[in-house]
Amino acid sequence: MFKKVPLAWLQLTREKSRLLIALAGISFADILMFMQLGFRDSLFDASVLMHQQMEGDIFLVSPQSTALIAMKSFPERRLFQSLAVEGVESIAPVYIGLGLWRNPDERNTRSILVIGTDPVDRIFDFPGLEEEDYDRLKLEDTVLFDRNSRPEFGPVAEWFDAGRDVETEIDGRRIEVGGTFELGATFGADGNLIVSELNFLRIFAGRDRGLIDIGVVQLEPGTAVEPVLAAMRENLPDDVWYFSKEEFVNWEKNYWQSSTAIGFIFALGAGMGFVVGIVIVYQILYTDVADHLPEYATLKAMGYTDRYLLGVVFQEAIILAFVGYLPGLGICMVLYNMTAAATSLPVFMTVGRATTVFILTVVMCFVSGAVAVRKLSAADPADIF
Amino acid sequence: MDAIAIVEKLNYYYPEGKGERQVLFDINLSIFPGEVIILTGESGSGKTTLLTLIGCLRSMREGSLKIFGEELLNASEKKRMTLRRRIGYIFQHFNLFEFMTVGQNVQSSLVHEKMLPAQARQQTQDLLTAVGLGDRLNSYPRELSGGQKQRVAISRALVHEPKLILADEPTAALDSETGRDVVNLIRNLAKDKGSAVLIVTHDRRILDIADRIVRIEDGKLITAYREEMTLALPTIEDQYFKQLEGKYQTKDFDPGEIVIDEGDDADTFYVIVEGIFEAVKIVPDSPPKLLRQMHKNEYFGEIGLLTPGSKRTATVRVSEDAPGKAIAIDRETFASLVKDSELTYAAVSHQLRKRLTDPEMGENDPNV
Repeated sequence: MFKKVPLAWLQLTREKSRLLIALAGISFADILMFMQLGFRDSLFDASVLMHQQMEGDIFLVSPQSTALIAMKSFPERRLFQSLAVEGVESIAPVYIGLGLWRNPDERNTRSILVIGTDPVDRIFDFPGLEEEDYDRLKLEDTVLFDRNSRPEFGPVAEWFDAGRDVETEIDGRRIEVGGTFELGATFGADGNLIVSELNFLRIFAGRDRGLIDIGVVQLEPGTAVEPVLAAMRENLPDDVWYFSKEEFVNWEKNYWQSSTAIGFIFALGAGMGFVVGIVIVYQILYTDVADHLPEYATLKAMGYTDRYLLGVVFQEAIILAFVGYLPGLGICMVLYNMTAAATSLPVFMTVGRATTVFILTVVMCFVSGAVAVRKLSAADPADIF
Repeated sequence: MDAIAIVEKLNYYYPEGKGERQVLFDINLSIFPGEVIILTGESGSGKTTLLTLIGCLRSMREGSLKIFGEELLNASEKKRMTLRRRIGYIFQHFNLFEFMTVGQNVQSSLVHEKMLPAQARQQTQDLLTAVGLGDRLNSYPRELSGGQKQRVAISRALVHEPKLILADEPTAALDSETGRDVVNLIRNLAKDKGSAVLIVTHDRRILDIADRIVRIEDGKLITAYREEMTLALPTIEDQYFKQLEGKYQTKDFDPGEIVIDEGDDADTFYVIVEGIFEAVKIVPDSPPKLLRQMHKNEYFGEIGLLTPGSKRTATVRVSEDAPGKAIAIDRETFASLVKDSELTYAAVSHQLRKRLTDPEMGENDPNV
């Protein structure tokens, strides 16, 4: 068909300004979808960054915990019991709490996620976290500060890098910043702190020693996780959940996806982009068919089949999808970088999302095409005389 | 020779309100290869409907319509569509594809042909060269004049060598000279390929290219007396046709039939519509002597009419080869026609004088 006269292409490129508007519209719809899906994924990704960077194979949490920011503590005894299971090498307790951080510069306070850990366990693999940082954690009232926290916490990292002593308060207790690491803000927490177990209990005076929030279990090298996990679930008390790392990550993601409106909101946003795209492409294709109705009728008179003409409209839709997607993708990469810089969220293009949006674009153009071709039946070859 | 299109007892109706209105009544028409037929009639008379029916663009209701031997009554949409590929269409407003080049426009007719792209391009190039647009292959229609556009449209309609070409008011959007060139082009190209052409037109200036003129009036197909008369007597103006309304007869004659006998009372004027008529002298004991052969759009019988009470000066009969058809006008109407129109009177008188100088006739008619 193309070797003779490429109808669809000619039809589309005939009106350059209209084609440009169409491409702008599709790009816009694509950007909308990309941004919404990007935000959603990055928010979900951010919320599990910590989970992913904890060095452990099995994680224990209370069944009453719902997410990192809503943890219910459980007896550390359970963690000790897991040592009895074959294959377990070591264990590490983690305390989680939300404290009020006073901005050392502007003196206002803001909620910050405080992670309590035994410095000798060294279970966190955050970038910028060095051996000596762990050593410094052992000092009384010394904390490590997440330099990817939101700027509202004050110029902590800058001051620290400049060699200044950074002293401030958490929940009214005087502390000093002894080091920094990189984690990033999430839905629940605008910033993060790491403290030693002891200091954690000092800051949160109401918390009891021995009631932990997460139990981290490390297995002997080369041990498969699943059998150990099964053994724990079988033999240990069932008043705690035993998660593999993947389950632990999904448990957190699942909370944000299903128990909050966040997933829905962003899916809705992406859906809006999709609908906007359908409307724009439909408009373009419909106008195109309507404007060329006499020509379509002439083609019908010349013996072109309806199917051939439908094919032409669908070809136009697919061409639009392809040509409109590429600028959308390019612009989005730039926007992602800008967003990542502005929000400390891990927004970046993934192959999966690029594919998803591309498929959505094709579907979008196809749906529009399918609606627009109904106009074709108005092209009656008997009317052109 | 097999007819390309045969229309028999065709009726057609348009829906109107809850009921329907009949627009074509008992149409009978055959179109033969190589023939140029002009179909004329007032707007709303149904001529375009008939054209679209013959063009397989509408589904039939009643009667019979055969195109290339295929019956269209109850034919499927798919069958009509396939037949359409064997027909060439020429439109009033050209209907070129504005987004395609001239070459692509013409080539668009070849999409359904089984041929190589190179061959399609060659055929396109050749035809465009033949219509004088060989150098405009890559132009867009908007860059062309009206006449050039119609040439492109003609090329598109003819490039796949259809045996039937349908043209709807092909000259309406053109000035008279360009219009003439265009219809001549259609005629010549069609004659070359032996294609039949059916042209719907109001344009009286192009009537003479037709081999046959038919007229639709109120949905009925009739002999186009007015158009035939115009061709025979170009000086008759529109206003005089009103006098003719209802006062003429279309007469069909068998091959060899005698129309008028020498010596009869002269009371009728004839305009030939179809066939060949011969004026002969009957000479006793020997074969009749042929004076003159008369063809379509010539007239006869005027000699006796201009001089009251005279007799026919020769016998006129239809040629043995084919039937004939003529429009007959009585003495009274003819008299008022030539009386009112001086130009017509002059024209007829001139013709009369010419014929009378024919020695055979003059000496045999002492009354003139």
